[in-house]
Amino acid sequence: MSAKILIVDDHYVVRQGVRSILAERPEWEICGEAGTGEEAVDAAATLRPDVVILDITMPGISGLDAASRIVALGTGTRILIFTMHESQRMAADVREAGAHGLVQKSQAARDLIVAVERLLAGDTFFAVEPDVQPDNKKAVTAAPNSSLSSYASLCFA
Amino acid sequence: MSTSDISNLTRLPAAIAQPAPVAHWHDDESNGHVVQFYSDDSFLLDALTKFVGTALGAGDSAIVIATPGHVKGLAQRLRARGLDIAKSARCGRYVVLDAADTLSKFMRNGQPDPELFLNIVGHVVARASAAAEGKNPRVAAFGEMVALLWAEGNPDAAVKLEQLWNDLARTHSFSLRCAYPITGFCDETHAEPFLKICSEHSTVIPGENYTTLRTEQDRLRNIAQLQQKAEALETEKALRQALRQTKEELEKEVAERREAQRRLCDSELSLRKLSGHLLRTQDEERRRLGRELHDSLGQYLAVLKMGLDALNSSGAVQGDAASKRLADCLHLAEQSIKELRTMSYLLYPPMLEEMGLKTAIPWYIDGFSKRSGIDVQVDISPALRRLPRDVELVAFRVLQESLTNVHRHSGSPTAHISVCLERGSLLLEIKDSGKGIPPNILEASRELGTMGVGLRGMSERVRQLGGTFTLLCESGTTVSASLPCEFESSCS
Repeated sequence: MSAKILIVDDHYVVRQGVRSILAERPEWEICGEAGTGEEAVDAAATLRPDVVILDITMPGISGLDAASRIVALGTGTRILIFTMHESQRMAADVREAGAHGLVQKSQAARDLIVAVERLLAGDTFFAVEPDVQPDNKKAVTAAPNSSLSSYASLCFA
Repeated sequence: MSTSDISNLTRLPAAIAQPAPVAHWHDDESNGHVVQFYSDDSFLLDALTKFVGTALGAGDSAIVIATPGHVKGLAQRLRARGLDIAKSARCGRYVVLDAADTLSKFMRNGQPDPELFLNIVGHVVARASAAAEGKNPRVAAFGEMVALLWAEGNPDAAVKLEQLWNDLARTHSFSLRCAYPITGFCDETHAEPFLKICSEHSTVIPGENYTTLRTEQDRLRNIAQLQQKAEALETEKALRQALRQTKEELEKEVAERREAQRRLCDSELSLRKLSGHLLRTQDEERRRLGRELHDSLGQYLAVLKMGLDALNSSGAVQGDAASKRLADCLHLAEQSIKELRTMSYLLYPPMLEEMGLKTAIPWYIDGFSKRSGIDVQVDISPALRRLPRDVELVAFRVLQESLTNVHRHSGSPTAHISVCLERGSLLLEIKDSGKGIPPNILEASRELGTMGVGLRGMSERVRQLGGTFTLLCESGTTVSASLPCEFESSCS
């Protein structure tokens, strides 16, 4: 199934990483790239991609704001949020913004292709991800040797 | 009377050294340059009437340079004594001059001008002397211009004028009587000029208290009484001096304390400014570090993992050893991403800038609940919208700090958070059902800031934004903060 995909991330290396993963599907055309939320909205309006892979934290408006604006364009573009952030709340916020899927950057290799496929099929993709590891708890309760303890105490001081 | 009558003036100390005269006070007063002190006008006028009346009665001349009141009183008394002063005046034997008026004629720049005085007063004396009848014509003069100068607070001019009268006595023959109200010498600083005035006279007549005493015995008793009074006054003077000194010292101390307090206030103010600046700098630094970690290093790690994942699934890595090494690398990359994420989230609240408190608080609470095992209920008003960045950050920090205290100190299994906007202020409340803060620690934190780095930090952050911060320990601990946010930022 051929498709036009727009990649939006303020980091060139990330865009390259996404390109190399998507290269697995030669029938998908990377129709463009954007580095900010504003650029993403403009590109979505002119390029009318089938799917936008959209980062959240970027200079200017956030990816979630950009998602809402792209939905408002009424072009039927499917939006996949692609982020470093990790929280159980994330999926709800992403849905609220009008986006259709969520992939964490750390799970790109595993989830990205599947997610784009789902979105192209008119479906959504929200992977269930256990977000806080036991390590974190150990860090915050200040295990003396934890590399995080100093940061934790810095923030909680 | 010759010039020598008053030219052999006796200095006062010598006069005091003499025993009190046995004779009546008025007997020896017609000669020389006499000063009379008085308390009561009628006493002065009686003495003056005798002095002037005796001269006029003997055919001598009299010059009176006095205040209008004294001139009038004297005239009445002289008439009562049967003297025809109008006639004497017509003959030039009774010369009356207004003291202030006469004074103004020879005073220059606050001092009597010697030449003018000699001309003006000398002329008056000469004419009166010429008008006197009898074989040994005499002139009796009464003057209180000196008393006026003294009353004006010009003692130097008074002494100088006394000296000019003495100079005049070298060329003109007259007997001079001066009078000063004793009440004019009521200050201790008057002691020296008083002695100077006395020393310019050949005879000093004390005030009526002493003068009217008739017998030697009475006078001795009076002297003893005056000595006792002087002694008491001296003691009181010393006491007063000591009191004045104490008062001055106290005033100095009060001034020093005020100054110290002012400095303390200044330094407190500058300390507060500094702490505000430090807090802002710290926030900014944490924000920068947090975002830097997340946005830069985090992205590289994510891409690194993408690459490793791709390598892994490509099947290009052959052999157990190489596969294991690749798996290790992947695991390491995953761990790095997780640790980095926690670090950056602790340093700076995730999504606060992008999504505001409404999103960032629940995100943070999720992580907190998992880490601490504390069940946190969050109640965020649906009307909560985006607020100025400073307000959002301070609110978040207060929340973060309070929850840390709940976790570390309260022992409470639950916490309740409420966030709402009311009348242009963000109201934030964090409540737990724990053991509260022990009063001694609370007190210590207020005074010394021992445990209170967190508490004080919170309170200071809130204060910097013009808000209020309260801490209530009642069946648990409740932290409340109110942050004014009238001037909303453009983000919505």
